[in-house]
Amino acid sequence: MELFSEVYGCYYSVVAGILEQAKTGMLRTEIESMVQEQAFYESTFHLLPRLFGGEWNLLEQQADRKYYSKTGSDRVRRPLTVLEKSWLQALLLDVRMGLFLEQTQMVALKQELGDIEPLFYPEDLHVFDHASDGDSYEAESYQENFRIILNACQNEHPLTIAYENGRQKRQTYHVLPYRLFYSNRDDKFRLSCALIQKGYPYRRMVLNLGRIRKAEPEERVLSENWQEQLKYIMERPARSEPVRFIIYNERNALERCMLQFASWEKQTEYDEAKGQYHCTLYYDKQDEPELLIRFLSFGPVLQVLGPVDFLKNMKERIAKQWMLNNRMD
Amino acid sequence: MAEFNELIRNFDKIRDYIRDFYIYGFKSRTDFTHKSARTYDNERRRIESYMGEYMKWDYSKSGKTAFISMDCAKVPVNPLYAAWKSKAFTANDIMLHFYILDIMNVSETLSLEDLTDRICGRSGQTFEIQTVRNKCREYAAMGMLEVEKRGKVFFYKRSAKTLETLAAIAPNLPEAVKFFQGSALFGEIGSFILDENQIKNDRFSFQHNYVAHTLEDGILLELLSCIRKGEAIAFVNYSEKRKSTSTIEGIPLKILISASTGRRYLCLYRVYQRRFTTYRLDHIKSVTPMGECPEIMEYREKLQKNIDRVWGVGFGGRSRLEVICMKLYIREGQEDFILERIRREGKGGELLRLEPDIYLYTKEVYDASEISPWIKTFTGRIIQLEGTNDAVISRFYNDIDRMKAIYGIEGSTWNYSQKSTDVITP
Repeated sequence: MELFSEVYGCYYSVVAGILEQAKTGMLRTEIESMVQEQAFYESTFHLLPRLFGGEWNLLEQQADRKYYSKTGSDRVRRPLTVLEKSWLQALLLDVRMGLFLEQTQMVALKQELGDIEPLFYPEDLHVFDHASDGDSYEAESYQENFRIILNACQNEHPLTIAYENGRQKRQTYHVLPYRLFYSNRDDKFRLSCALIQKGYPYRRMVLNLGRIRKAEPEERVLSENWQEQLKYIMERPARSEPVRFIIYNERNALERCMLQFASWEKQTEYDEAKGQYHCTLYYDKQDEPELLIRFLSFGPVLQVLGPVDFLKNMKERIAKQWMLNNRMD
Repeated sequence: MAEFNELIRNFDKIRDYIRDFYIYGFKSRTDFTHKSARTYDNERRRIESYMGEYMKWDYSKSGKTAFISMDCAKVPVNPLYAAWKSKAFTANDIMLHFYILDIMNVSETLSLEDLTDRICGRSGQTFEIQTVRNKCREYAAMGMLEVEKRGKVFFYKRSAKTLETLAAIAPNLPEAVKFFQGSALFGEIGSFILDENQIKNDRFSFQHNYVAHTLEDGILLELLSCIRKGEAIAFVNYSEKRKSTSTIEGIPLKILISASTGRRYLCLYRVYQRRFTTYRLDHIKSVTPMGECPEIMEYREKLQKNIDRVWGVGFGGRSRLEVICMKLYIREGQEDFILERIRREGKGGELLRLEPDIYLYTKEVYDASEISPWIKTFTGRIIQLEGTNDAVISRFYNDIDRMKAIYGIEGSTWNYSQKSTDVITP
């Protein structure tokens, strides 16, 4: 089974789309914009000449100057390959699949995929540092809530959520779901949603699915322009001033640091004169406690320079520890 | 001079460049010395084309630096999957692909002669029957065509299995693919399925998402296949320390994965050394199967017995276990989340309440140095650290002294009772 095949390639995918649309004719400019939108940045220079020049012999230009597909049917999309079916078989062994499919559906799907072996088996993998208190994917109530929330996301309807916070206090929220966040490290789902008042989304909120006691669809009528308001609330940047730090050239700190912070947007420069690396990392305010302990975990091979509040928190933690180490018992 | 082609034949050619642009991001043209400057220019141009908005530039003293940068929690599909979608092909490949799919249907079988005639008729171009045969064989092996032999003649038809037919059985399957393309191994395969079905992930976001590791998936696929078959392997490994490659032999047993960094390792039993060793997947260049290993079950059981005492991936240099004890100050009722974190991340280490607000965490591991970064995340609340590995313990205390110096903290003038909301009174 080959992962790297032209069959999965960007060009094949874009050309399939063009052939589908070109059944009824497409203008050259329409094809060009489709390639610009869906293919790689430079593909217009490489793909289009072959498509228009006849090298690939898939389109023909007719008297109305439009390009028509030479394929006669609607069947330009390929069936699933063994590799793809094998990947789907592997997913059927994942407990999280139970969130999406009923047990009977999983059995039927397994049968339909036939005797194709799963691409990988959970027992051949060992995740050594994920949280031990991941969500209970197999609990019936969790699965039920998950499906109600997923359905509400698909159909864009509000929910009433009975929620138990970290102090075991129950609260009820009326929300409009937006996205489901998943963290591999925490092994948890979180619902990113907006609180609604008088049919109007007004504040962003994140709820742990593991703490949702009951999710119920709501019949509430939403205000006219709720979609724009939701988008505005949810996509408004919650960025803090970036954190700036130095990585010293010892204990393989650069490599460890780059991997540790790979999932954040950042920029690194090498200061040749000092033999150090200067990094600027952009983060959301909510990530600050996590970032702080990650920085501390590097010890003296990483030095935070700013922003002021972040630096103050680092210094405070170090000062406390130094005093604990040097106290007179 | 050969014309520049946006697509590539060999994935390995681009793997290390993408990794360097993404993971490090500060290297300029002159830092890429392992290949010619022209090769660098071509690869950079390709990667710029694949990455689009995620490719950034900056100017440093050593010249222009190109790098890939993104907030992974905000990307619905890993942009690095683009590398898997860049395989070069010939004009015959793409023409036959679309004409075969166009002509074949799920209910009618066609002989090669019939199919070739129809392709020639529809395209107005002549194709050799041998060329069509090769493509049909390839597509039958890939599972897109079904093959049937009648006498000496092969007949082909299109496979009926599509995402659409499977979704008729399980309507939420496309939603599951949207999720697993970002959270399961080989997520690029999920992305292939979504592309082919023109589905976008508009539902899931992935936190702690380490996108670079898709680049190792070719190696991962080979290793998992050998693990499943219980085969011994020889592989070419690059050593960062020695800056050289070497060939290593052994029995592959498991893939170890870090959820915190996304880094993946091969756990190998080295028969002559009689020990388990781990190797980073991004350092493995190629894998060769060496045949079945009869003792595989014995090694698997041995690993299973030991794996809980490995903190990360280090099996240590000795067989003796190392103990680490950390006494912590945690304000009960106000900082219970710290206790929760220890239970969550402490890998089954013992947590004892010694007295109100004072706790003792104890853990036995093969290599205590691996636990050090985690210990340091409790900086500011460690009353005492003890253990059997003196080097690890003294490094912790020295590190705090060094950090105090680096940050210019004056111990005697630091007034924590005023500045801190988190006063420690051990």
